[in-house]
Amino acid sequence: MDFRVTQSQMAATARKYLAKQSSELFTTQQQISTGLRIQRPSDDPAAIRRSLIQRDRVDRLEAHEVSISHVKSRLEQAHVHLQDINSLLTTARQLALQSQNVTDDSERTAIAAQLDGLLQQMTSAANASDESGYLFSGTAGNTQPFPGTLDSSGQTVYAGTPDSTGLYIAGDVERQGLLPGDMVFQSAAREPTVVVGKSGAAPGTGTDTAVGSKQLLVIHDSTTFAGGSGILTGTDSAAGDTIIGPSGSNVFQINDLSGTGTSGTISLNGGDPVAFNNTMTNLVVTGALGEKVHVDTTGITAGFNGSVDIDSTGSLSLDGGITRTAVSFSTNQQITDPRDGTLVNLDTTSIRRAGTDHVEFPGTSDVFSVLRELRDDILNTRNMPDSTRSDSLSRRIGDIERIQDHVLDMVGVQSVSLEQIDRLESRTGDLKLAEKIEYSDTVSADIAEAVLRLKELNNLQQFTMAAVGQLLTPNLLNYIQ
Amino acid sequence: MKAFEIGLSSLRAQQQTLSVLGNNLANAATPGYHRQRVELNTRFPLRDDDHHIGTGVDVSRIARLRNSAVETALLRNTSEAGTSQQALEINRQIESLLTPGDATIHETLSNFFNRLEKSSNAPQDLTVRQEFLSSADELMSSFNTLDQKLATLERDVRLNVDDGVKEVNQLLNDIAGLNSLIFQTRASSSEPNDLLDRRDAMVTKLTEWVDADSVSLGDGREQVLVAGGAVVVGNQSAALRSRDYRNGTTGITLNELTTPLSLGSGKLKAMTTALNETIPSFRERLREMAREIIRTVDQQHAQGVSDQGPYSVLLGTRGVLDLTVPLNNSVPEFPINSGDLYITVTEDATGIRRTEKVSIDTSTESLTDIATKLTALDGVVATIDTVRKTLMISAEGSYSIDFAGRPDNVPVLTSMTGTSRPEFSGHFHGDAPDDWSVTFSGPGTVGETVGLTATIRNSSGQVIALQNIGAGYEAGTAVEIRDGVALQFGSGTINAADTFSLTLTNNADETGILSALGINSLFSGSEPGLFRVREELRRNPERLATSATGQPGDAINLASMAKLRDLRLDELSGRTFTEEIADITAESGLIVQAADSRSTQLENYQSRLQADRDALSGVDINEEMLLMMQGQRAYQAAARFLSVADQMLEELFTIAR
Repeated sequence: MDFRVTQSQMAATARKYLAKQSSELFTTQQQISTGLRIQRPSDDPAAIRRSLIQRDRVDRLEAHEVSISHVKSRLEQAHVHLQDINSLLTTARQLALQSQNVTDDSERTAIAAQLDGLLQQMTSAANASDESGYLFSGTAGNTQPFPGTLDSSGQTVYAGTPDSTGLYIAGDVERQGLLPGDMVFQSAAREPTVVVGKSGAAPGTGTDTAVGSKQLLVIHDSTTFAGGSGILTGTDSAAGDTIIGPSGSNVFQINDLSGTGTSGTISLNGGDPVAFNNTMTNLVVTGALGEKVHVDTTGITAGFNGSVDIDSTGSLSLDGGITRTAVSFSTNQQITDPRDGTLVNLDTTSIRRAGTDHVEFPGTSDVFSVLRELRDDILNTRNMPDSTRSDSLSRRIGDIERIQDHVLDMVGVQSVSLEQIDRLESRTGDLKLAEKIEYSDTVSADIAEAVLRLKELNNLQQFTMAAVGQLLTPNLLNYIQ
Repeated sequence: MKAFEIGLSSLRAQQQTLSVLGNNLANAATPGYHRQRVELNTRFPLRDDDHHIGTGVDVSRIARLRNSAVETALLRNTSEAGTSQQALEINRQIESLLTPGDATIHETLSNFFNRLEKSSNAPQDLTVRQEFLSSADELMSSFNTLDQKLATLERDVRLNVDDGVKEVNQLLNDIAGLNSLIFQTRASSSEPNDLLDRRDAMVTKLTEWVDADSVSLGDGREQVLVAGGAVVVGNQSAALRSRDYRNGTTGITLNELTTPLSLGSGKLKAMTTALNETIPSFRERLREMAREIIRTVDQQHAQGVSDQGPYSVLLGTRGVLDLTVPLNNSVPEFPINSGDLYITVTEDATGIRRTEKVSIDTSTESLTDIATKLTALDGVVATIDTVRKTLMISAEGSYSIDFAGRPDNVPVLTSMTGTSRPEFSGHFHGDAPDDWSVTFSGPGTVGETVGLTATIRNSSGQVIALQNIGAGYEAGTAVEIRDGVALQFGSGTINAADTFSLTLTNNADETGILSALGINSLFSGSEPGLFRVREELRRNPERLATSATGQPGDAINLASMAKLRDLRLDELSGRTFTEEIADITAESGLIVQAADSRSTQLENYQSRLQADRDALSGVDINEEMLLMMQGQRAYQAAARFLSVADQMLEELFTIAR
């Protein structure tokens, strides 16, 4: 027997499939309208999981691009400022060379004024900032790195931190961002220390920690004489003598011309003999090199003719005499500057004179101090004789060259960082594109296929309606008269 | 005359047939209607002479055409379809909540980490910080909203359960009433086909809600079973009740019984499953994920310091259940493990940092015990808010505190007799905590003595670095040893036997107590609905713990927080946060897909069963028309027959006249 089919069944079947086709048509329409294959998770749970992770990766790569772009922009700004500083140093070097041949004071003053201008530009560049803070203050982004104050060594105080900023990309290694100002403008390779002066102090064997330059005060403390001659220290000996040295390093030659000790001559270290008599309590005896000793000749032993060894003690000070360290006449004597705690190692074996020496620590001056010292030497604020001033100017030029090399090194370091960041940016862009393609493959609708499907469903719906119309229209009722 | 009786019987039979056919036609589109057929029987014959002659036709019964096997299968399928349809409806709502789009949890989660990374690359930019904090708030808001919407869905479903139970009880009552009517009708020897159809329709409706089965009692009445238990017996009906249990589940019970019925199918089955399993499962997964984000981010945030450097006061925002109960049992939301907590105490005037270790045993120590231990440390005071049951850690007078875990800058120097003073700097980022010890090659002067070397060993005694501190070393120059830690020596002397050590930690809080108690946390709240960015940070973004040093440009702590994006957590089955939310979303799609597929399958089966049912019980209008024509002709024939019989009788009358 054939399967009985009722009109209700036909209508129900038509209804069911028309509803199904409408639903599919709606889905297809959504796909065409939105361009997306997946409208909700149940459309393809595995694909939605994949797509969410892919979408997150794309968003994340976009965030990387923003971060990279931000850090890169700051690095580029810093790079520009460093190049400016390099140009300023080139100009400063040219001015220094020019100043060596200048004899006219007004011209020197003009060059010094130009150097002041360079110094201001340099300070401005070193204090450059953007909307995210100062470029050269390390991690202390809100603190002006070089506020213009000087420390006890005459170096510009750095108010930032010694730490570089970083480029943080989640899932990648930390990359160096901006270099701290102390590294860029202050650090340089320490070179052998130079002592300029007449005391006889020389650089020691230890490693100094002082930077820039310092005034070394070599102070005479006391003088004593070997026995037998009857000579005594003069009343101004402690304050006025300028000799320093262990016994025998300085020598008097006494000749009692009277034979009774009442008069004669006395000479120091082979210097011109000075006449004395037995009434002098504060006779100044000057040596061959200008050193002075104050003596009391009232008790010269009658008939004494001969040499007398002098023992003279002294002390060293880096803070203008406030804190003193006795000269030990050793090959490496450490002197501390209590103002900043830095150390200077000195060979004090040859110290023979009191006076003020200038200790320079080449390679440690900051970029600002180098310009300031150059300016001061051009103006000869230390009143150096021409030859000393010329030597000093040569050292300043050396300082400029060293600091310029250092700045160029820093430019190089930042260039490497920039190059790495450029590569990272490029790779991030490539990755983003690849992720976007993958994401698109996962979620995007095939529009052509969807349009064809739309047409197919449309036709099917029309056929369904036509068929059900055909099936339900003929009825026995039509034939019953 | 028999002929009149015969004709009359035919007229009556055909009239009834036409009525039944008319009723069939009238109900051709009535759902659940079974076509009826008049069954005709020849009347008992009468003897006429030697012959038995028929006496006409009788309507023996009006039969309801019904295939019991198909009807039973259809009933069962209807119930199962009810389950899948209802489950599909609920699951679709869950799916809608998790469908990706603008401002959904997927976007807020991604934004949170993206903004965090942006902030770590522009840490001193307050606008960027504010953006990050807004994104953190949006993320919390997403979790809160999702949980709230799922809770609303739960409430709606719960209300639907009550409505469903009411409808079921009404149906049971109606079925019992119909049973009574059917019984009475049958008692008067007539077949109550339409009443039976009405009862079948009600049972079918009932099966949409529960897995109902009807069993004939043999006297015309039926017994209705739900989940194997009788709910209608004859004209008596029981009532179902929805009941909420203490464990948070919902069940359907019979009358006042407390044991829930084990429903096999139906909408109520789908709704109770959604209430007891599906919705709580999604809520719990989302809560767990939110808690893990909060726990890990807070834990990292607590180990950083803000632009203002170490803190004078750190106020906890999360309380414990009981101040005197061991922590194992008093912090329900965020677990605390036994281990060490390292607190750094900084002397404000000198900047000298000192790390203090507090060992915590969660099985024996309560919050009060921990507060006592912290207070015992020099420079630290811990107080408890007995109302909120929270902890506050303060630094005494001239000290500050933090949990950044930076190495002590000045180590303990009791075994250093020389005049040189060592100093550490940097931030340890080794894989595991370590103890370093430093010894020297011999006596000497820093920066002067040739060959004077410091030897640094790790806790295993391995030499990890040799540092020249003699000739060529510039006193006060920091030299990196390893893993981000640098060591420098001041000018002065070293004696041969001098030594010192340093404790290093890469995790200042091994226990998780900081996040559990909300100390210096990014977020506050421990329950959905209360999750938000800590009020202090909302008011003042500068309090964001961006760094390890307190410098505004130091973003190491933000970067560490950003790295959590890639963290695979055991609590999330080894998935990252992004993978977890993608997984939850995919699962919402999967349950819809499964319910949809099941629903489609049952719908198709329903169609086939419906076709099978209609093959017997359905009304074919044409067929009914044919039968009607057939009946009409039979009626005409009977009428003609009566006319002929009448004429014959007339002939006889004519003869008699």
